[in-house]
Amino acid sequence: MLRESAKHQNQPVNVVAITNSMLDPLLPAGRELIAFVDAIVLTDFDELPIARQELFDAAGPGAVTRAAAVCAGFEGTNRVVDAVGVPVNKRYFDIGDELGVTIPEHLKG
Amino acid sequence: MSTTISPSLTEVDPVAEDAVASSLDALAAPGSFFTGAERLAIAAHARVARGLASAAPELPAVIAEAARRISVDAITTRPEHIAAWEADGHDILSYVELVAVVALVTTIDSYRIGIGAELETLPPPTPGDPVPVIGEGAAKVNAWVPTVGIALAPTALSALPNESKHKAALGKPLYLADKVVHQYDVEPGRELSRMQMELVASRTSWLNECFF
Repeated sequence: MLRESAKHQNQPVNVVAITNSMLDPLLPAGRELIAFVDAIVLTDFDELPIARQELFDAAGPGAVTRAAAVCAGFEGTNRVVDAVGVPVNKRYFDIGDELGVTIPEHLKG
Repeated sequence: MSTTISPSLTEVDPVAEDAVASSLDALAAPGSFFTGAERLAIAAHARVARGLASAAPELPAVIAEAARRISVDAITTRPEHIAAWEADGHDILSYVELVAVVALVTTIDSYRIGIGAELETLPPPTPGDPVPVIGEGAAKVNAWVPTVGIALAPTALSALPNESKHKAALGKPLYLADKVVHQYDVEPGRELSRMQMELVASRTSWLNECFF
């Protein structure tokens, strides 16, 4: 989705930053968003206040709320699709290669 | 667990708050196969698995294990787990209900964790027996469980329309309506741009080892 949006909106983005947090995603507050997501998903209560403050400083309170909301929504959806075996769409196989992740055989449909 | 409450670092989203409240009600209400008390017990087991609670009511082992696995290790699920569920005497659609319950409580909790709020105490169960509400034409198509039509992320719970509705009712206020998700040149007017939200979504999925 991110790559498609970048293409449609003619905006730069480094999608590899999704899997490599050393890289800059080239989006406003991109690094802060990644750190915030990491703290939520990993339930890292030491890092979370720091990451929240840094995202707040970079993008404001609405960004903190929305980032938490989007992350939370995908926390649920990820579990559903993996638990019921929704196969990965073939069109995502290429992006998997680009990001350096291997689509598990059991989800290739 | 402990969270640092940072309300000044967030904006209250009244639509999301309403959706969370409705979702808690849905967790506590009888479903198609589980009572409200059983659904809340499943949610409690999911919380314990994430380290967000210390105790949960007793459940049959196969149910408790499924709640744990889906809460923290969903990617390890295989068809064999579902076969074992059925071999233990449970309807495959009750597994779908369990998945829906775990997803709902996980979403609520992650949102609360993110905004720095305390987790809600799970509500008391709504009395009543489960009443199966099954999607017309639900059948195994391309997933491990029945769906109405092709199994995609938005239709993964479609065999149980009420569960599908509950998930959407929470998911849309948090992210985007399904019809907008793939309109890549449309900015949805949220506090983050579409691409920022997609970065959040992608990182979340990657951390969960999910390829959706």
